[in-house]
Formats: sequence, structure tokens, C-alpha cells
Amino acid sequence: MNLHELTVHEAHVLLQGGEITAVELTQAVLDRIREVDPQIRAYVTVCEEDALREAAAADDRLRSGDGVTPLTGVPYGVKDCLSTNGVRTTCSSRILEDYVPRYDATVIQRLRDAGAVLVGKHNMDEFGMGSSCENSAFFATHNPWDLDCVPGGSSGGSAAAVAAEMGLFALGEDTGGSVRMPAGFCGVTGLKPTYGRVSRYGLIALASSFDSIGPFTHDVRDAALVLNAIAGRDPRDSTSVAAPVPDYAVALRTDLRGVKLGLPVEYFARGLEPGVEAALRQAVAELEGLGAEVHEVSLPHTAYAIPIYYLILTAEASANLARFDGVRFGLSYPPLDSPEVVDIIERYLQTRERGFGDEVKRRIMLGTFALSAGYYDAYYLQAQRVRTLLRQDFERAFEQVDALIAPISPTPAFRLGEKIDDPLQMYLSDIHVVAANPGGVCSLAVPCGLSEGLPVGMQIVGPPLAEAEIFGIGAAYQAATEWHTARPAIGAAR
Amino acid sequence: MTPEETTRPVSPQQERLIDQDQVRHIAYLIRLALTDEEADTFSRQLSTIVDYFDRLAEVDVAGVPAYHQQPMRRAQLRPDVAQPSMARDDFLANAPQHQDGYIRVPVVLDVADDGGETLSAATDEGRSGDESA
Repeated sequence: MNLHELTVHEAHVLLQGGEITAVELTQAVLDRIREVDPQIRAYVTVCEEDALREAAAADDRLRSGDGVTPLTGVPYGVKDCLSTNGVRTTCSSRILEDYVPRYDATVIQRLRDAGAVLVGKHNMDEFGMGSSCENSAFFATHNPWDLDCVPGGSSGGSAAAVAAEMGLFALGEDTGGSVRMPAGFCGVTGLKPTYGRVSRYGLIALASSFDSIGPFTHDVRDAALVLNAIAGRDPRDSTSVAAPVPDYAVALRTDLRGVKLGLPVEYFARGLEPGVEAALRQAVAELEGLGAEVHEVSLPHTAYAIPIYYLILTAEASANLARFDGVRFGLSYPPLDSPEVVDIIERYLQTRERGFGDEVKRRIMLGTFALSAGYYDAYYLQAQRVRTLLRQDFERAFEQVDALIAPISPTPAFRLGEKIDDPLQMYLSDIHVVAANPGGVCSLAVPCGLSEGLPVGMQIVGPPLAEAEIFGIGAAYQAATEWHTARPAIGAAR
Repeated sequence: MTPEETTRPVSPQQERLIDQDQVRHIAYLIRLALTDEEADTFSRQLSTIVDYFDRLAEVDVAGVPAYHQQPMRRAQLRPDVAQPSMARDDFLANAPQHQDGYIRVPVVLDVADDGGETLSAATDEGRSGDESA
């Protein structure tokens, strides 16, 4: 048995039964990282010593039986935008290359409290800006199913790490598809929870009204276990919601009798690659076979989701990234010990020029443009008005159905380099995922097929705070199908 | 819809929606140095993107409130009670330069003339005399 292949719930049984130790499991994951990450490049930082120490502490806990949770002793990694006390947190940006936070994000603290073992930090598009993980300032991450393809973005490192079994689960962050899209491209399960369901404290902000932290796992049961640990009100995030956190793991079901599902006609109209469409249609047939009633619904403002999303995102990002000034933390240029003397404006200009990559520069310029005098009404304000209409589309649809079934992306993973020189084409690859964030809904990505050897996924979209319901649908689908068990052929022993 | 159908490329001859001077102005507002080549590239790319975004103008929003201007129903503030915050040394650990428990910052105002006296204590003493800005 290869321990790194285990799901969280499988590992928990073995750990609790004393059949394996957390140190053995963590060592297996660290060995796996050493074996396959030179090809995948999912990890920016691996914290081997800390991980083995945390694993030993988890073993003490497992032996005593005190405070054991389903995550105790389970090794995981996180997207490098989540602050980790004492572990470098870069957002895959030069401007934070040497930044070591002195505090934990709330989600990290909650996972520590649960006894999970942090093995490292995952590569991403710089500050979450990208759909391919190629916008990392350090290196591109490769898709474990085909090393010439992208893993998707922006949480590409986290999706690739779980797909290639370099961690039993991961935390990513979804601002406009950044968990769901790479989950689809890498054939793993990924959740964008409702905004506010999970605290953003300690997350390095991209767009503060969209950012949602969520898990990558091998199946829906594991995603429910991780959400159980991280969800809930946090006094340090005033936008975290006070609604009670149900036990998501008991909401899992095996049939869909009485469940009404909607197919948004705009998402299926045309433009889906044939292999993607075939996998989606087959999945819908499976869901009907499980007892679900399927109806067509309409989300008429879908065509505006990309401009709504990118205008609001870039506006918020341009404000959030103003904090990188070369004075309080992060890169400062020219170096302070150099003989070159510059005033503070020049220091801002040079620090930000050197610290930010092209996509970051493009987006904060776009956001500043959208907010500037003379353009604010036509762009930012208009986007916020149409956002209201987009939300109303979802509200109307959820008066008719319990959840929506939608594609994740019009195509499977595209090739490295294919879209990197055309920013608008890259933005358009987000067409099926961006609406969930301005729309205020939650969405679960699950694998539902292969197209020419590459994973295809589907979204199960639910109304605000309906995570338990979409987990239930996803779990029923996974109980009846095998796509979530497919693993890429990488590394030895296959 | 396919990406092909939704893109309306701006031809090189067509007037750009955001010209190079605008790009330079925006870049200065956000304190970003740009080369001439970058100003040209960003002008072209941002014009293409904004041209695509202009489709938003076709939506009738008469009487529709902007989402961000609606009341925040869910924001909840914690009680205004003092509690321990991060230790000063932890705050300073990531500062590019610090001294005596303060972050050292570059010269903010012109200190060449009088008036520099009061500032220099809070700025970069060793260099303030050399600053020309």
C-alpha cells in the first residue's frame, strides 16, 4: 500500500486504528514530493522538519485519544496566499519572495487545532491573477495528467499537488474560479464555499468581496471533512457569517430522489469541446438515474459575467495591492544598504516595477482605470449594477431548482504557453466559473470524465450556504461513478 | 458562446481606447515605473480588454441598485474592547529597515531647506542631507 495515495477518510481509519502513524504517513508524502515534484513543480516551499514535528505531535494525540479529529495526523499543503506563522508566504510574487508571516491565517490555525500536518506551500498565479499557474514569478506548474498542459489557475499548485498525491488534501482560494477550474483540469474535487462561510483572516487579499477559501480533495467526503474544520464565524473577519456550521459529513447521500437540478441553457448553448459536452451529458444522465429531476433554467446575464468579474476584481485588487510599498514589509528597491539614494516616490515606483509581474501590472492598471474620474460610472458602477442583475438570475433559478449543473471550462486543460500572450483569451477561459463569485453562490467541482486522456469536471452550484446540499449531490454522484478514483500515471509503482 | 465569438479584436490601425499617455498617467497614480515598450504593450492589451468590457453598456440598468451600495446585512463588528495584538518585534520582523522600535522610512518631504529638522528624526538621518527630491 502506498500511503500517499490514501484519501483523508481512509487515512483516518488507519491512523485511529494504530495501523499507521502520522510520521509514516507524512514521510510518505514528503518522499512522494521528492519523487514527482521535480516534474510537476507544485510546491514553492516544503517544510519537512516542521511537518515531521507536527506529525509526531499528532501521533501523541492519536495514542492518547484526546482531541482526535478526522484530520489529525493528515498531511496537507496550502496555496501560498495563506499566511503561515514562520513559513515563507510569497503569493508566488517577487515582492513577497522573502516574506515570513508572524501569524497564522484563521484557516491554518483551525487546521493546526484539528491536528492536520502542514507539509508546504503551493505555487499559484501571482496574487491569484491567472487561469493557468503560468503567472507565477518563480516557475510554471505542470498538469500531472499531461506535463505539457497547465494545471489551471490560479490555485494550480494545490490542484496538481492533490492530483499527484503530494498531500492528502489542500486548501486553495477561489476569487473567480481559482479552485474549481484547476480542480477540473487536474481531476480532483474542489469547493468554492459561499462568501463568508470561511474566514478570510490571514489570506493575502485579491478581491475582498469575492475571495473564498476552499478545499481540494480526492472525493466529496474528504471535502466535507475539511470544510467541517475550517468553516464558521471568526471575530477577526467581519464578513464571516454567523450561520451555524452543520456537520457536512452527515449530509452525504446516495440517491437523489426529490432533488431538482437545473441546467443553465446559456452554459450549454454552444462552444463546449465535444469531449467535454459528452462527459457533462453523461453525468446529467447519471444524476437522473439516481432519481434527480432535471430542468432547463436560464441565467440571462451570463454573457456579462466576465466583464462584471474583471472590472470589480481589478478595482478591488488595485486598492488591495497598494499596500506593497517597499516600506513596511516585502521587497524594497533599491536595496537599503546600497549607495543609491532615492526619495519615497522613486522607491515606490522602482519597488513595484521590480516586485510585480506583467499580469499584476495589467490588472491594477485596469482597476485604476475603471475607478478613475470620467470612467467610474461607465465601468465600475455599471459592473456593480449588472452584478445585482446577475445575482437575481441565480435567485430566480433557485426558486425552481435545488442546484445547477454546469461545465467548469469549455475545454480540458490547455497547453503551457498557449494563451499566455493573449490576456483576453486567458480571461475568457474563466467563462463558466466567474459568475459564482459576483453571484454569491457556492459551487462544488467534481470530476465527471476524460476527454482524450485529460480530466473533465462539472460544477454543482448551490444557493448561498447550501454547501451541505451540493455535497449531498456530489456524494451521490461519486457513490455511483468512478471518475473521482482515477489518478494520473506519474511516478513509480503504477 | 465560444471565446472566438465573444472577442472583437482591436486592429492595430484602430484608435486605441487607452493610449500610451493614459497608461503612463495610470501607472504613475499606482506608483509603477514603466518602460516605453511596456507603455505601448499595455496600451494595446488594455484597449482590447476594455473594448470587450464595453458590452456591459448594452444592459439596461434603470432603477437597478449597484450591488456594493446595498446595505451590508451580514457584516458584524466585534465589541470595541482592547485585546492583545501582535508583539512589536513581530511587526518589525518583516520591515525592510527599522530602528529603535520604529520602521525607518525614506524621506517623504523635501528636506533641503529648513523644516527638515523635525522630519529627519523620523526619516533616514544619514541620508537626508543628500536627498534632492
